[in-house]
Amino acid sequence: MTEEIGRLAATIGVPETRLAQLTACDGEELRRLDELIDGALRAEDEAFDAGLEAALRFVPRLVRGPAKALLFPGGARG
Amino acid sequence: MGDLASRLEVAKLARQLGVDQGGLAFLTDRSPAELKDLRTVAAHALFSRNEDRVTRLAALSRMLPVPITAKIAEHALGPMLSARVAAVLDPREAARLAGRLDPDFLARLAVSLDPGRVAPIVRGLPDDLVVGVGRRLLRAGEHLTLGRFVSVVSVDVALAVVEGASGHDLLQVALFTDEPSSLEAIVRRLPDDLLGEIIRAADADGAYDAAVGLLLSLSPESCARLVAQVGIVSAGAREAIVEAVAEHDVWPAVLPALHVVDAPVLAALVNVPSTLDVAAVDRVVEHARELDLAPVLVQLVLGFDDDHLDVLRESDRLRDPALQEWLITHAGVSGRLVIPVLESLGLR
Repeated sequence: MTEEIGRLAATIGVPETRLAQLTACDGEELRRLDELIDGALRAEDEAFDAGLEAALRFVPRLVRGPAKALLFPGGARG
Repeated sequence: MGDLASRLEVAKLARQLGVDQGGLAFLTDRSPAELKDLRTVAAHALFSRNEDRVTRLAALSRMLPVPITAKIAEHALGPMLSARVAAVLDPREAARLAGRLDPDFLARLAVSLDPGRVAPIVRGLPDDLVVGVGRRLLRAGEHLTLGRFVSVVSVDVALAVVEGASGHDLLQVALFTDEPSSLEAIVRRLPDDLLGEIIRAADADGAYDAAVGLLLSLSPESCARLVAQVGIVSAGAREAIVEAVAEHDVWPAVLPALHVVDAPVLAALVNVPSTLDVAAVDRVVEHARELDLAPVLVQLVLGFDDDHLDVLRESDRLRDPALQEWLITHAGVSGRLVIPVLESLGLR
């Protein structure tokens, strides 16, 4: 397995052997694929960060406390 | 047909990653199975990454009245995050929520849904709601999304969604359908004239590979109904379709269908320039032999015009005594018919 396969496997969160079908791709292609998947994961993280914050604003004030505790356990935001 | 199937898989992967298909063009030479596997792995990564936050949002939706949850979905989360949350809701909760959401929003949400994860939810929704959303997706040209949902909805719902759809739309939705048996169930209930529209659309779009890809997905009976429509397009279009069949060597899927095609359609289909090549003819003969389709081979020979019969005279495969014996024995017609034909072609 190449270094690029290792990096991609780490990005996706699977063992390198799970990506054995990609060994025919060259290093540049694997780097590009890693970039695109990493970008998709980051975009999703950012969407969740913003979405959770925005959701709280629509929660009626009376239950905002419990809702905040549910969405951001331990006070952690994002 | 690997090229087309790989391109379709790349399109699905690109949609999943939210990137332009061109950015993944380097993957199109990978096999469809490899790409599907990569898509599965990427989907798992995307779905599991924020699983805890999805669960918390689902818990919030249970805590609040449905109208407020609907407002949060539409105005705070947006279609993509709402799709993630919908996938973990109980089907009854999801149905209640769906009833409160704007159908246009539901259509945008559907684009990000994983049909495999939400199948019980979709099946529990009222048919008119699903049809309404499906028609919105069709108007938006969301063939990929519709194709992925074909196996999740009933045949009646699928047919209602595509009622009045163009041949182009039908062809594209068919190509993106993951489950061939679901596609087959729908095609069985489409009238012949609509199948003709699909062939016309393939011609208008120059999508001959796509037409052949569709033929490959269908049962021999449905394949025959589609092939029977090939007679309505121009000679140039027929030539392009036969060329695509020959190029991808998918004769084994097409030959059984030719058995039930009317003689004039068959003649129109086989008397094209690409079958003026003896190597191409020998390949068809070889496939017919392997599939034990002697009656089809006889029909083909009888359908050829003079120019094509001249090519047959050069066929090494038809000259083979063992093959001739097989043909005579299994043609389904008297050997007294087959033998003179072979003799008149100078093959015996």
